[in-house]
Amino acid sequence: MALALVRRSDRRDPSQARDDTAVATTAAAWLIGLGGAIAAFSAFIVILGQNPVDILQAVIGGAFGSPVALNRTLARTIPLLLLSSGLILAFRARFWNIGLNGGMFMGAIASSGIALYNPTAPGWLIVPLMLIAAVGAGIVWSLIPGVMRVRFGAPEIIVSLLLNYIALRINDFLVFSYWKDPNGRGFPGSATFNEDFWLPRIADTNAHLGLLFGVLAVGVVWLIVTRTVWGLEVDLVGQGPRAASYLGLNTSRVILFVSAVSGGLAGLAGAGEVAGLNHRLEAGITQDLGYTAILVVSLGLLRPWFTALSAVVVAALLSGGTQLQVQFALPSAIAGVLLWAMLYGVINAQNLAERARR
Amino acid sequence: MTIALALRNVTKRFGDVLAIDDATLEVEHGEIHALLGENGAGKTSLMNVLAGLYRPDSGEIELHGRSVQIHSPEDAKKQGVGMVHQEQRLVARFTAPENVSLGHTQPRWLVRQRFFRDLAARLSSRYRLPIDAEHPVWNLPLGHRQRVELVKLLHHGAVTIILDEPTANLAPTEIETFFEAVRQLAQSGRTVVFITHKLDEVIRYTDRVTIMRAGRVIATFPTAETSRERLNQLMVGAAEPAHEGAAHPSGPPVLSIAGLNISDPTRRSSLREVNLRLHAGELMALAGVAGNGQTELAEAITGHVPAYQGTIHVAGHDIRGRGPRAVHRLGVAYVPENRRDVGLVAGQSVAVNLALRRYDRPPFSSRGWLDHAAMRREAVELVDRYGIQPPDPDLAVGKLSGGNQQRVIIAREFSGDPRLIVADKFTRGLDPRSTQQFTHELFAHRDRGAAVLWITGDLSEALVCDRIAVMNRGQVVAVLDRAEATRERVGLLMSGDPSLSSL
Repeated sequence: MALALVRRSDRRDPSQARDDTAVATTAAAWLIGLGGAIAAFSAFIVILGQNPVDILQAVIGGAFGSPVALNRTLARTIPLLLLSSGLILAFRARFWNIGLNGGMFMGAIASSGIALYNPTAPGWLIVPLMLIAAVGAGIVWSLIPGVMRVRFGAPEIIVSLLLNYIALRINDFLVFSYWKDPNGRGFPGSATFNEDFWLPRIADTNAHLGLLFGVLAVGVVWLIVTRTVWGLEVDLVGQGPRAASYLGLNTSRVILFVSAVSGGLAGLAGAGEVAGLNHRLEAGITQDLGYTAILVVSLGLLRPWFTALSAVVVAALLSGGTQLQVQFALPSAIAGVLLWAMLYGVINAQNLAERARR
Repeated sequence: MTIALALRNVTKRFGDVLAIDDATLEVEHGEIHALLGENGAGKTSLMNVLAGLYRPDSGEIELHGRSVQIHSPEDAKKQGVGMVHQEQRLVARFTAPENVSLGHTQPRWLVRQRFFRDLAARLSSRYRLPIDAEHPVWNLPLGHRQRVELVKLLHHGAVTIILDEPTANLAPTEIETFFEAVRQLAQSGRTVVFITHKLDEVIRYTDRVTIMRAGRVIATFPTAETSRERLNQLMVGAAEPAHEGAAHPSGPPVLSIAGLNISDPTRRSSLREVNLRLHAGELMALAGVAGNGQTELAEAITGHVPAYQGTIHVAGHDIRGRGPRAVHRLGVAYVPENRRDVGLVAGQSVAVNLALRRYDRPPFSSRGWLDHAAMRREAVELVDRYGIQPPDPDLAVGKLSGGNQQRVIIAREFSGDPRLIVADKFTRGLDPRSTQQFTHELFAHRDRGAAVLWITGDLSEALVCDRIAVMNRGQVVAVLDRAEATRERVGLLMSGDPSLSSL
């Protein structure tokens, strides 16, 4: 019995050792970085002639203080969870996919198409179809830079960025023309979907099915990154491309894998926006969250649970920022200042912590 | 003789590690002074203090009798101290004169192609160090790049010159010319400190020698009054690697190469009609000056070259169309030349790096799930067996010293009873004690029945092998038995036509 216990702890300890110290470093970096950022932000607010405590209170209140605020924060958290969990894999492989905004548009368009062209079909059939179509569209869209990188060595940063604008235009084209709601009083958006096609949600809140997918995505990515051969290969391709080829690792396969996963999840995020939140396709449906996700994963230092936490933090700042405009007549961009200060603080604190561990 | 340079009671600590322990070094004006020691003995650290890269915790620096403060490389430059580092620090895409002019004090608009060429010609003739002014330095042989570094230092007014293992990548003939140049510098009144762990070079080329061990200065005396054995003893207290017993080649060849041709313009060199046979229980040296096709041959054998003419068989299997992974699974271990970039992933732990060849199979993973605990258990064992320092399998491998990184690769590649070992300059950066240890290990694998191909540019290494294949310009120009191979003969074969290796 005693022997069995010893063996058990023996088995657990070794794998934990590495993770624990790294997690501790990241947590410390977060605390120091956020503390510094809030201090710097407060100084900035004082210069503007306001009381920083009031401002921070307003931001937090505007993010979590009321059902309305919580709903607003949640609406941004869900897509950010989906987008950033996929982006963790892409960035870990140093595949700089910044085309998530485009993937999100394509997901939204694909699922809207299913809903708009089958208005009378049953919901149990259409909703899964919408989600599958969205994921598929996101994958296909994101594989374009992936394949171009693998086949021709085209830089994915440029390709994926430019594809974002194409997706944006396709979306605009649809909502201003073929899919424009005839009863929309000229507003650029499609007709509202059949209520059967809306994603299930908790009561009347914004907590729709996408939230479950988002949390699931973070969990799965965490498993991939920490526990699987795939996750290790993603890291190897990212950190040692020459070593990867020396080992005979199929780098192209890894690149295609991460570009597909990040694109598929972006598509799903797009579906969430149209099927879970707005219930129709609109111009600018992504709210540029595809770009915001880059900031989220940077703040989360490419670690899944820290990234999930930063998705919440960033969503809260975006949502709480609107409160500043109402209460203090300050531009809502002020919240952005805090966001960037945090990013700067956390990344620098992490670098310092890494150096100190040497 | 006057003292040109003195470091007195210098101590430097990194965290818990005492890198330099109360070291005192005096170098006379106009001499070539060897600083001899194993890896991690503190030679480079001590010189980094002088070059302004490290700030000592205590101690003093005196130059030409005056006490000076050196807090930055800029200070060092002002004091006339220049260092040629182990890893070269030239801008690869610049030509030699452009590199020389970096950090120039003259206005930028003066910096023109013609100016560069004139400057190069002037400097070359002044210091009698011929350099190529036309090509970007990455196109130049390593020996030439070293000359460029020297010219750069001289141009910036260095009178005290530190060379950190400058001959690591040079051919025997290049080493000779290099030291002729260094001798000239010393005769023109400059002082040269030469960091090394090669005893031959100390004996042959230096005036005095200081020996360091474990951060301390052990002794200083004129080179003429000492011997290889004495130096080695002071440095490590052990003997040099030597041939170990006779080979017992057996069975059909483990490696057989027939009519191998590689001509790929993107590679550094091509191979022409290479034929080789290597049996189990045999240790063969593949001797050659860097860049004559040895690395290409190693890459072809290990499955890294997709397109070639001819055939390569490993243990009877034609490896055409098999990638590096498949070839490795035939039992081929490969210690690559460029360990930092190629053999290791710096950001990953020692444990992961030790498992890099096998992480995708049991016991390290099953059905795609990694078993970190199993990797770590194996790592603990290998770290202990190969003496990897510090003995922490969780540390990122990039934080180990160069010699210990090499140990990690050797530990990984030598484990698992490979049937063919291809080791490309695997002693580079290792101190004599480790070199001896791992050479012994190679012989042990040979005696176990493995075929070993040891790529080396070092004559004393090549001459301990059972057979010596010499490569020059992409061809195997000779395969000699150990009995018929002499230093002169192999050296001559390596350099090919002597008229081509001048400049």
